[in-house]
Order: sequence, then structure tokens, then C-alpha cells
Amino acid sequence: MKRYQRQIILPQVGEKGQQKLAEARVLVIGAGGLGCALLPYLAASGIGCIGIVDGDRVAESNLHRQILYTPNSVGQFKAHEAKAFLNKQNPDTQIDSHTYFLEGQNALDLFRNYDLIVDATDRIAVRYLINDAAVLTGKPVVYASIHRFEGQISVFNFKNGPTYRCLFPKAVSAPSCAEAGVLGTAVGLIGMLQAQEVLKVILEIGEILSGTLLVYDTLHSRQHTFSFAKKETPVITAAFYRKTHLNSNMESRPFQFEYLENRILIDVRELDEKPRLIHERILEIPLSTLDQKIADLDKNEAYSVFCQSGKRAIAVASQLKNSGFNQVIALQEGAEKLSEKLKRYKDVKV
Amino acid sequence: MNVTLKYFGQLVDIFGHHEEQKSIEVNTTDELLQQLSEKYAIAHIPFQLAVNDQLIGQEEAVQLNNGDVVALLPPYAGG
Repeated sequence: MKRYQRQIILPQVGEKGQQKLAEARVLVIGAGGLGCALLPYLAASGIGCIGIVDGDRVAESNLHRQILYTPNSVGQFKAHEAKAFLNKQNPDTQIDSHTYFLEGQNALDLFRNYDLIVDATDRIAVRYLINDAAVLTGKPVVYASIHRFEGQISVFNFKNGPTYRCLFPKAVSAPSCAEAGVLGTAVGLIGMLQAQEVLKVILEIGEILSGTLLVYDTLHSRQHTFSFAKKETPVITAAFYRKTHLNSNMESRPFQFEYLENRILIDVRELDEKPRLIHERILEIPLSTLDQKIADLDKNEAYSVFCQSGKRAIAVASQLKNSGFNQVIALQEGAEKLSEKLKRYKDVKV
Repeated sequence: MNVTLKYFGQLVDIFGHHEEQKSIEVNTTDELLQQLSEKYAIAHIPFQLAVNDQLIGQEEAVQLNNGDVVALLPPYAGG
């Protein structure tokens, strides 16, 4: 095992630690900025199996920070592209790519196949889902998130320790990288700290960030740690999970600017509903014509459905999903709100 | 009394800096929050409070002492 010799000679690792890495099964949710930073280091260290969950495709605006991808990756599934890179990097590590989004319906089965969950996603709602599914399946979560130049890192549900709900009890929203902006090196630094916690948990060494939130401000080179205690409410039970994550078949997601690059938008409003949004990647398929037009759609394409209020979008997205379209999502925004956001794009006519 | 306030995430833009020393006439964290929300538009941003690096509960009002460091911590979404 010459490949791992320099880490095996560390007293904290040794042959025994290397064996722990080889036996570890790690599930990484999100192959974006954080995922791209930590995945190659996890694979290089000799972790036995890494699963990657991401239903997104690579967009050109990802390339400045998502360093596993090249211009040729644009339009391809991130999970596939990341797997191709990692297979070349370390053929000993098994890579499972899951080209769909984590949802209430698939999270528990997925988590049961792994020992440790890495939250590298970009949405608050998914962070609660990861938290609750990890509590129910008894898996520790290594968490990180980004706001511009700052990152938060912590470890949840480690030996029954505090969870994301103990840190941030209320379901809330916060701006994503697409909205707030981000520098590649900042997300890389935070991803590296996250990867370090993953290795520490597997190797059972050092002090784990359990019950501790590390906040790193890369712009001012300052770091802070805050401690937080376990709270017993809400108690995450199977019933709580059902109520919170399984009550609707289709969840709507906020629009992200890269959707205009890596997805096709479907406007299901009738043609007299204003404002109209005109763009080569926006299809106008009024609900009344959907049944005839559905045959023209490509089941392998990624679609985002919107309407006037968001309700029809959920219904149509569910219908498409039930018809075998796996890459379909409903947008939270109605056309009015969407037109506000799309004003940034000169080639969208509103 | 004097306290140090530390701001994170979106709150940095709202308060205009990362950190400031403030002379306050209130005695507890809920009174401090009340005072801050009268002057700054922070109602739409969810955040947690930490006093001297220890997070406090959302409905908890903690007694403040001269020299305390109070951090305002919103969740981040990006990844």
C-alpha cells in the first residue's frame, strides 16, 4: 500500500486507520462547489466507497468553482462527471453516482447504504431533510454551507449528539451561491475543512465538531467557534418525518439562474395569462394542451415547470414525474416573480 | 454597559460591518434584539444569538454583563 504510506506513518492513522478508511462508505449530497472540493481528497485518501447524489447538470457558470468539471462537462450530469474524474484518480475507491435529487421518498433507503452523510447541498430545505433522515437512520452528518466569503462547518448526530435542528430550529431560507455570489477559493477552503471532519470521524481521531459550529471568514482570515446543546424538540420520529418530508409528492424549488443554462423551463399557463416570458429555453405548453404535447417531450431532459402562482406547476411536475420524467421540478415562483428575476438576462423578453 | 456585537452572513451588509463595540442601556438579550430591530431591518432574516460563544435558545432571554460578546448567526444556504 505504497499509495497511502505517507498517511499510514502518522501515529493517528496507521495500518488500522487505513483499514477504517477502506471499509468506510460515505454519501456526499451535492456535487457543487463543496462537493468538488472535498470529493477528490476523500477518494485520494482511500475511502472504500463514495456515493454522490446530485440531479443537476453542469452549467457554464459552475466552472469557476466546481473544479472537477471542464467546458466539455457542460450539460452533463454532475454525478457522472465527478465519478469519471474520481475513477481515474483512484481506481480502488468505488464511486456510486445517483443522478437525482435527494427527496423525502428516497433519502432513508439511500442513507441506510452508507455510514456517514456529507451535507454539501445548497438549499436549506434539503439540509433539514438530510438532518431528519440521518437521525432516523442513525448516521452522523458532516455539514458545511457558504455565504459569500464565510463558511459554517459542524458535525451533527454524532454519537446521538446535537443536530441541525438544535442549531437552527426553524425552517428558514437563505440566499444560495447563485443569488449571493461566491469565490471559488472560499468554497474550496470550506470544503477542505469539511473533508477534514469526514476523515476525523472515520478515523476516530482529534476533536470532532459535534455540538460546535465553526464559522470561518475567509475574507478577514478570522475563525470563530460556537457551542450549542442538544434540544429534545422536535423529536424526530417516523411520524414527524412523514409529516414533514412525505406530505406532497412534488416539492417546488426556488429558481436559480443556472436553470436557464442547464434546464428547459416549461410555462404551463394559458396563452392569455400575463406577463409572457419569451426565451429559447422556455417552452409554452398551456395545461389544456399538455396531454397532446407530452409525447414531444424528452424523458431524459431536465425540465422546470412554472405557472402563475406555483400550484399548477406542482400538479404538472407530478404528472410528468409519474409519466417517467425523472429530471422534472416545479418552480416556487410564479411568472410575475420569475420575470423580475429574469430581467438580469438580456435575451429574455418580458 | 459595553458589549461587543459580531455580525455574520447577510447581517454584515445590514449592519455595515463585522463587529462593533456598543454601549447599551438594556440588560437582557431580548431587550437588545428589540432595540436592534427598531433601528435595522432584520425581521426578515432568521438568526440565532450566541453570548460569549454559547448559543442560546430562541425564546430564551439571557442576562447581559459588561464586556459580553454577542454574535448574530444566520444560517447559510450555499454549497
